[in-house]
Amino acid sequence: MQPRVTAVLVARNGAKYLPRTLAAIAAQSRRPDSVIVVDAESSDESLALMADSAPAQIADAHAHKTFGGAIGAALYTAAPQATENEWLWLLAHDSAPDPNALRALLGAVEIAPSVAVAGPKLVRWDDPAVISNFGETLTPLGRSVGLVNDELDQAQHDVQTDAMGVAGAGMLVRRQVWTALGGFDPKLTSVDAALDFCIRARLAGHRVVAVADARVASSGGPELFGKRTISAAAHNRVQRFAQLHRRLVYAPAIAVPLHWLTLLPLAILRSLGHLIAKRPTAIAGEFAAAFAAIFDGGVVAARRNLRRNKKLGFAAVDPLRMSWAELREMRAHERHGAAPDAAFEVERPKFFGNGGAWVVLLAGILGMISFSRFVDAHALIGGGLLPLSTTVSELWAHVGYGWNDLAQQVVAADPFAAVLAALGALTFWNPSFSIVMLYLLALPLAALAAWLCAAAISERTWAPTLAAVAWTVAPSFLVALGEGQLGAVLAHILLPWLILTALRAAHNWAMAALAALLFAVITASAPSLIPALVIGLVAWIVLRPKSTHRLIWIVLPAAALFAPLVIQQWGRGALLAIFADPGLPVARVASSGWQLAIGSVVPGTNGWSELLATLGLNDRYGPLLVALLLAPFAALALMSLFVPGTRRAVPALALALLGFATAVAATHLTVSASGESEVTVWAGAGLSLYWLGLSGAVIVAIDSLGRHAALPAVVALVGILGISAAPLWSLASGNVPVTTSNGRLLPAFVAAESTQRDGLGTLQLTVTSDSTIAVDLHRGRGSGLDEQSTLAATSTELSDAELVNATLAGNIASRSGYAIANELNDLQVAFIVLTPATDPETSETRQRIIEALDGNSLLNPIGDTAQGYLWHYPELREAEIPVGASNTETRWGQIVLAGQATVFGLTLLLAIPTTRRRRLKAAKAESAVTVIEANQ
Amino acid sequence: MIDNELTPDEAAALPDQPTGEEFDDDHELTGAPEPESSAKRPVSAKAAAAVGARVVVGVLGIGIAAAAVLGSSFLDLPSYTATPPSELVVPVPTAQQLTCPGPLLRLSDESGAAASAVFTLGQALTRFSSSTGTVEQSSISASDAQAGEAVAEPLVLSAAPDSQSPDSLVRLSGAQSQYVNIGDYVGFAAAGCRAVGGDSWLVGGSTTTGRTTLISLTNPTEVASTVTLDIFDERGIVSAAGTTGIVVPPNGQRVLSLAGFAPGISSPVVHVTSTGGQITAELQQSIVRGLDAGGVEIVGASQPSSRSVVIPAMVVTSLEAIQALRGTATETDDVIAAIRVFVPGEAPATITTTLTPTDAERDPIEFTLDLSAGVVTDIPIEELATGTYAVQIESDEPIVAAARTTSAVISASEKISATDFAWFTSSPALSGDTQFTVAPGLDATVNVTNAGETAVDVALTADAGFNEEYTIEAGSSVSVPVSSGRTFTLTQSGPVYVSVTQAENGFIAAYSIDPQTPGSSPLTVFP
Repeated sequence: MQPRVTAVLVARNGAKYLPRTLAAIAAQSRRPDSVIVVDAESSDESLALMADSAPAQIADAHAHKTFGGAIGAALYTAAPQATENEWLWLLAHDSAPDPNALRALLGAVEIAPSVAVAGPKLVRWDDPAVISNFGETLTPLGRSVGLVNDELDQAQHDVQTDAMGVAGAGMLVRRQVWTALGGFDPKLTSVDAALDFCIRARLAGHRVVAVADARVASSGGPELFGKRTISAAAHNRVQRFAQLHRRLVYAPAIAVPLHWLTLLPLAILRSLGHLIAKRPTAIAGEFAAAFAAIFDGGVVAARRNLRRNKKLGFAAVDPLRMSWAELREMRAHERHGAAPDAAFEVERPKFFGNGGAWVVLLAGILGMISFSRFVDAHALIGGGLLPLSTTVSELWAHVGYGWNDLAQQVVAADPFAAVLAALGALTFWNPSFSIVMLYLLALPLAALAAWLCAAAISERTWAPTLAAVAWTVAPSFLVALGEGQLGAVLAHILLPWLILTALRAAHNWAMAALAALLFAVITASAPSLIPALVIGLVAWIVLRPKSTHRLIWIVLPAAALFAPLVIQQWGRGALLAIFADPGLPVARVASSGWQLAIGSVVPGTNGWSELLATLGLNDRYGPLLVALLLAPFAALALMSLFVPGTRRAVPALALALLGFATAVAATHLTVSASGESEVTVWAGAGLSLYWLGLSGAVIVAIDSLGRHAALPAVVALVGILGISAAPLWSLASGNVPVTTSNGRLLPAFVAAESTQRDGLGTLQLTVTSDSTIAVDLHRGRGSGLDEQSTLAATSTELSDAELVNATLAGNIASRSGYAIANELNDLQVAFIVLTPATDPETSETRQRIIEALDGNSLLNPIGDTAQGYLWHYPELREAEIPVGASNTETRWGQIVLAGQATVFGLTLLLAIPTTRRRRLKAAKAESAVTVIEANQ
Repeated sequence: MIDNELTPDEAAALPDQPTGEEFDDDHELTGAPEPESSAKRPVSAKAAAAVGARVVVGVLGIGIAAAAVLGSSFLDLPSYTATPPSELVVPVPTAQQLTCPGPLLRLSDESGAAASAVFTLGQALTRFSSSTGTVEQSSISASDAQAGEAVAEPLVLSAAPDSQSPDSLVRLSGAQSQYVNIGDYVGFAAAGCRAVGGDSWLVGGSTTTGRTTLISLTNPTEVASTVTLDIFDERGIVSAAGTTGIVVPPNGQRVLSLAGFAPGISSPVVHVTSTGGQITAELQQSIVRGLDAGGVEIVGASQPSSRSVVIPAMVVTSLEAIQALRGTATETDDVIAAIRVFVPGEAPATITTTLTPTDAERDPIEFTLDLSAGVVTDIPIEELATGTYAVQIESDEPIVAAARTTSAVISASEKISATDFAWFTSSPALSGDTQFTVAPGLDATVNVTNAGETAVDVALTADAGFNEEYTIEAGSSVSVPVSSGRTFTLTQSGPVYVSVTQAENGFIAAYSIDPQTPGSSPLTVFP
C-alpha cells in the first residue's frame, strides 16, 4: 500500500525562512499527501505566509513555543490516522528540503518495515556543501553527540544508515509510532528531544536510520527554534539539563535516587572543571540545570511512558553508542580541523637568543653585589621593613578580619598581610627569610619581567634589553629597596607581568585570571596604584568591549581583598585612608613635582646629593646631573609620539602620565602616622608606573628607528646606568636604612618568656620628641610586618583601649601615684621596653623615663638590649590575655575568609594553563550560538 | 613561563591580540582624522597626513608633559593630612619625699679605734613643714654608720597628696642643722632636705692632712641603687678601685671615705650617678689644723654642669680673723676664700667671674680665667673684704662650681677661737612659688639673686605675719635676715637663685634652695 505522508510544518517567527521552505515542500518530487502548518506563537507574518500556501490544515499551537509541543498540539486537532501506513514528516520553518528528500526518506523506510524513523542529512542553510547534522548518538557517559558536525560533504558519510537518533527537523516518522510513544518528551524542549524520541523508538523495537540522500537545509540546531541567538550560558544549561533529564529517565529505578543525590555534588565538581577548562560562563548554566533536574517533575511521566513502550533492553542500543575510542578519534579530527594557519607569525625577540638571559644574569650579579651583606641574613629590618611572624600559621592568623594588637581591636587586616602570608609560606621554615630571598632576587626578577613584557610588544632585539635595564635600575625601585618599602618593591617586580597578562586577558581566561592575581597582589602591596590601574583597565575595556567579562574579572580578587578594609574605613569616614601604604609606617619628606619627574622619590635625588657631597662636590648639582643623565631616555620616550607606532606610544605615555599623577597625588596625601609623625604616602609605586610608561614609549621609539636604533639606545642606556650609580652605591655600601636582623622584634628575654606563656604583653615606649612618646602594646614575640595595620596607623580618634594604654604609658614613664600594678595585671603586660634613642634631642625625656622605671619597685630592670632598655614585671598575676576574637572566631571573620578564599580559589583554578585545543574548545563553548541568517 | 603560554601561531589566531602589525595606522587612538578620500588620493598625501597627525600628537604630548611637571612643581595642589590622635597624660601625683642628710659622721669611735668604721656624732635638729600639714617621718633603716644614739639615721620626710584635691601639688620642705663639739669635731653644719636624683655633682671637700671627707649616699626608695663615682681633682680624673657598682640597698645609706679612693687631694669634685633607685648624695668635710679643730660642713649637691653658675651668697665673716688665723695656724691653704671650678667636658673653658657685694655699696670684683678641661681648679680670692657676695660665673663651656670661706672669731686678745668653714654650692633657678625651711640654730639670712636681664619682684612670706617684698634689679641680690627654724614661701615674678646662710660667733653654714620637687611633667602619648 502506498504510504501516506503528512508533512507537519512548524513555524515560529520564521517569516524570513518560510518562503524558501514552502517552495521547497511544494517542489518535492514526491509531494506530501497533506500539509499541516502550525504556528507556534509567532509574532511576525509566519502564519500568513503558511496560510498562503493553502495547506490541508492550519493549526494555531497556542501556548506551545517548542517544536515538539507545537507538533503535538497540531496532531491533537488533526484528522485521525487514516491508514496504518501513515507517516509524519516533521519540518521546521527553516527546514528547506531538497526536491527528492521525501522520496529518498520514503525509499529508506519502504525497503525496511522495521524502520520507524528516518532522518535526513541536515546541511547548512547558506552552504549545502557543509553537513551540520547527520545522526546523533550518546557517549558512554550519556552525553549526546552529533556524529557529524559541520563537515564538508564529500560523500564520506553516505554509507551510514542506522543511527541511534536523528535530528527532529526533517524527521520522517511512522504516525502510529509517534502516537504510541507520545511524541517528544515535553521536558526536552529543544536539544535531545529528537534523540530521546529515537532512543525510545529503538527500545520499542523499531529502527532509526539516517538517510544520506535526503538533504534538508537548516539554519541552526533545535535550540535555536524561533530564536535569533542563544547565549552560551543558556545553551550550556539546556544541553546539561537535557542530559540530566535523560539520565534520570533512562536509569534503572534503583539507581535513580543515587543519580538524584549526585546532581548537586556533580554540579560543583563540574563547575571547578569548567573553571580549569576556562569556561566560567558555563557555571551558571551548570547549576541552573542541576537545580532544574533536582526539581524535574517530568521524570515520572517520562519513565512511565518509556516503560510502557519498552520492548528491548538498553543493551539493544548500546552498539550504536559512541565508544571511548571513537570519541577520542572524533576529538582528534576536531583538533586537526581547528588548527589555525600560521601565516601571521611574528618574529619576536628570543629570551635566550637575543640577550634576555644575559640581562637577567647581569641583574643577578648586580643584585648579589648590592645585597652581598644579606647573603647570610635570616631577616631584614630597617626603614619600612620588619621581620615577619615566626610561623606560617601566625602569618595566616593575621589575614582577614580579626584582632590586631597594634589597633587594639578587631579590624580588617590589610590586604598586604595576605601577600606577606603567601610570601612567607614560600620559606615556611623561616618566613622572614622570604624577604631576604626577595631582596637577593629582586633585580633579576625585575629584569626578567621587564624583558619578557617588552619582548611581547617589540620586534627589535635592542628594545627589550634597554627596557629590562631601565626597569631593573629604576631609581624608584632601588630607593624602595633601600628604604625597605616592600610593597613598592613587589609592585615594581610585578607591574610588567600585569601589563603582559592584562593585554592577553582580552582573549584568554587563564591570562585574565593571572592578571587578576597580579592585580590583587600589586594593589595590596601599593594601594596608591589603585586609581591609576583601574583607569587603565577601564580604558582597556573600552577598547575591547567584547572581552568585558574577562577584563572585569581582573579586579575581582583585589575587590574581595579590599572589601572588608574599605567597609571599615568607610565606617570611620576615612575612605582616603585605604591608600595608606601597608607595612610599617615611616615618616619621610615628600619630593616636589620636578623631583618626582626626574625619578626622585625622596629629596636628595636618590642618593646623588649625598654621593656628590662624599666626593667633595657641590651637592646642589645632583638634580641637574640626574636630569641631564635622564634626558636621552626622556627624549626617546617623547620621540615615540612622532614616529609610526603611535597606537602603542600614546597608551604607554598615558600610563606614564597616570603614574606621575599618582606619585604627585601620593605626596599630597598624608593619611597614616608613626607616633606623632605624619606619614605621607610613598610616591615610589606611582613613579614605577611612570617609569613603566616611559620604558614602553622608548621601546616604540627604538622599534621605529630600526637599524639606527643602536646609538640612541646606547646613549639612553648609559644615562640610565649613570643615574643608578648613586642608589646602587648606597645599597652596596650599606648606607641605607635596611639592614640585617636576627629576626627579633623584642628582646630575647621577652621571646624566652613568651615561649613559657603565650600572649604576654610588652609595652613598647618610644620617645619621639621632647615630652612626647609613642606607645605600642605587643603580644608574644612582637608585632611583625604582617601584623601592621593601616587601620591602626590611620586612626584619627583614640579608642578606649588606646586611651587605657596611653594613660598607663604616661604614668609608668613618670613618678606617679597611678595604680600601675592593676593596669599591668589587667592588660597582662609583663615587660616594658624603651626603644633605643635615635634623636639626641630626646635624651632628657628618655632619662626621665629610665629613672621613673628604674625607681619603680614593681619593675625589675633587665638592662640594655639591642631592642632597647627592658624592664620586667615579675609579679604579674596570670589572667586571661585581654585580646579579641581571632580571624576565625567571629561570624564576619569566617565570612571574610571564606569569601576571599573562594574568589582566590576560583581565580587560581581559572589561572591554571590549559592546552591549546582545550582553550579553543572553551572559546567555542564560551560564545553564543546564532542562527544562520536567511537572506544572503 | 608566560613566554610559552601562547605560541605565536595561536597569538595570530586571536586577531585582537595587540601585535605590532595592527598598529600601522594611528587615527584610531590619536583621534587624528583619517582623510576620507585617502583611498582615492595619492599615497604620498596619506603619508603626509599621517606624519602631520603624529606631529600634532607629539607636540600635544610634549605640552602635556611640560604642563604636568610645571603644574605639579609650582601649583598649589590640594592636599589631605590626617592628624594622628594623641593624649596628654598628666601623671597622677605621688607622695613628695625629701631626705635629710642626718647627723654628722666620723671615722673611728671615740677612743680612736675602728678607724675604718663610721660613727655618728650626736644628732641633727630638723625642721620641716608641708602645705597639707601632715608630714610622715621615717628613718633610713640600713646604714653604714653605727649610730651612737637612738634617732641618728638620715630622716626621710614624705607628704602624701591631699586627699581632698589629689591633683594639687603638695609643698614640702625641711632643713637640718647640727652644732657639734666632740673631740676634733667642732663646728656648725646645716643642710636642706632634698629630693632624690640620678645624677649629682659634689663640689667640695679635701683629703689632705687633717681633712676628712666622707661621701654619704642615701637611697630612700624601695629599689636598690647602683652608684658610680667619678672623682676629679686638680690633676684630672682619679682612677680608683671600687668607684663603680656601689650598691645602696633600698631604704639604706652608704658612707664612704673619699680618702679611700683619692688620698691626699686638695680639690676633689665627685660626680655621682646612680641607676635603679635614686639617691641623695652629700659630702661631709671636717678640718683639723694641727691640734685645732677647723670646723665641719655638710656639702650638698651643686647644680649640673652649665654655662652659667650662680652662687647667691658667699659670706666672709671677718677678714681680720682669717688673716690672723693664717698667721698663727699651720696648714692654712684652705683658709682663704676660694671658688672651686671643674670643666667636665673635653674643651677648655674661659670663665668670667663676678663677685657682687650685697650688703654694702662696693664695686663688684670681676676677673676672667682660662681653665683646662677635665681638671678641678681652686681659684683663691685673696683679701676678700668682710661681707656677703653674690657670685656669678659665665663660661663658654659647661662647668660646675662652688665656693668656700672660713670663719673665725678673733678676741680682743688676738686669740683665735671658734674656727669654722662653709661651702656655698651653686643654686638652681627658681621659677615658681617655692617653699623652703631655714635650719634652726645660728642667725640666718636668705639670699636672693636675680641673674637675669630685668628686675624681679619677690615676696617672702611666712606664717605669723611675716611678709616682705623686694624689687631686685637685674644682676643684683638681696639678703634678708630671718629667724632660724622657720618655713618661708617665696613668690617671684621671674627666675631667681636662693640660698640660706647662717653665721654667728665664728660658726658658719650654708645650703642652697631647690625648686619645689616637681611632680613628673605631663607627657603627650601617641598610642
